[in-house]
Amino acid sequence: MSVSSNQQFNFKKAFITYDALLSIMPIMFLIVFIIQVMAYINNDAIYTLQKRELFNFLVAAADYTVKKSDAVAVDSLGNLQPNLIDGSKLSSVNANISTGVSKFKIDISLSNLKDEPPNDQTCVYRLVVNSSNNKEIKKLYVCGEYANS
Amino acid sequence: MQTLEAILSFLFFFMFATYTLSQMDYTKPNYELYRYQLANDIWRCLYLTGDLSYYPILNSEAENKLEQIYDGTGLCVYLQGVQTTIPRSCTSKGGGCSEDNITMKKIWFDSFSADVMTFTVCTPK
Repeated sequence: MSVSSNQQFNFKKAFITYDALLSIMPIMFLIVFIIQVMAYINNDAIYTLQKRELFNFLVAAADYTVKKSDAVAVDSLGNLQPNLIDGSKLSSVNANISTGVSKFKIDISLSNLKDEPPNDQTCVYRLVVNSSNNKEIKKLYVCGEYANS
Repeated sequence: MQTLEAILSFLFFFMFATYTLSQMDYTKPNYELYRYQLANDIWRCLYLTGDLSYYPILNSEAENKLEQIYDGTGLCVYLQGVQTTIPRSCTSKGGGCSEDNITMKKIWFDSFSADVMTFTVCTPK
């Protein structure tokens, strides 16, 4: 096959171009793959930390409610009685905590011992005695989620 | 080419470091404090309802309450020296204490002396 001099096909240049193309493609795929895995790991770490932060907040809120909040009953000497809870005052405690910490939405409620969590949010429970209902042992559920979710 | 290798090496290192850090224990919720609070709750509830008034003798009502707590929460309660306080459901369902339990000691005062109550709460497996 004859090719004129100005149209001569340069095999050397073509091979180099083709070789470079085949080298760059796997490297590009590798970089994209690594970035995707990094993004996944990063999101997973953020999710885990948020879960921990929410859990710690709920535990702290539940402990406050059980020991120091307005819902804790007071004895004749004026001392607080931890774990003895007046269920009718829980809504004001809920409002106080929600006002103070706007990052989370929380919901505090009293339930019977066998009851499941009142909603599908993250919940922790504490065992308390209901002062207004024949001193019955109840579960105090503190459920919450991030306010922006 | 060396720059490219350096970038790739850095990306691999960063990915590995992020993954390793995210798997460490301190990033996951720690339930220890919460478990202690629950164990103390049980003791407080029994105290507030008057079921520990005659410790180390417990009445059947106290046993029923421990049974209800187990049914509602899965927490088994053992009071050392009081044989009858092991809830029946704890033992019959294969529950009971493993290494994963919390033991608290409470100093118990009555009119004449002080006694130490050993109070063990086993969390669900």
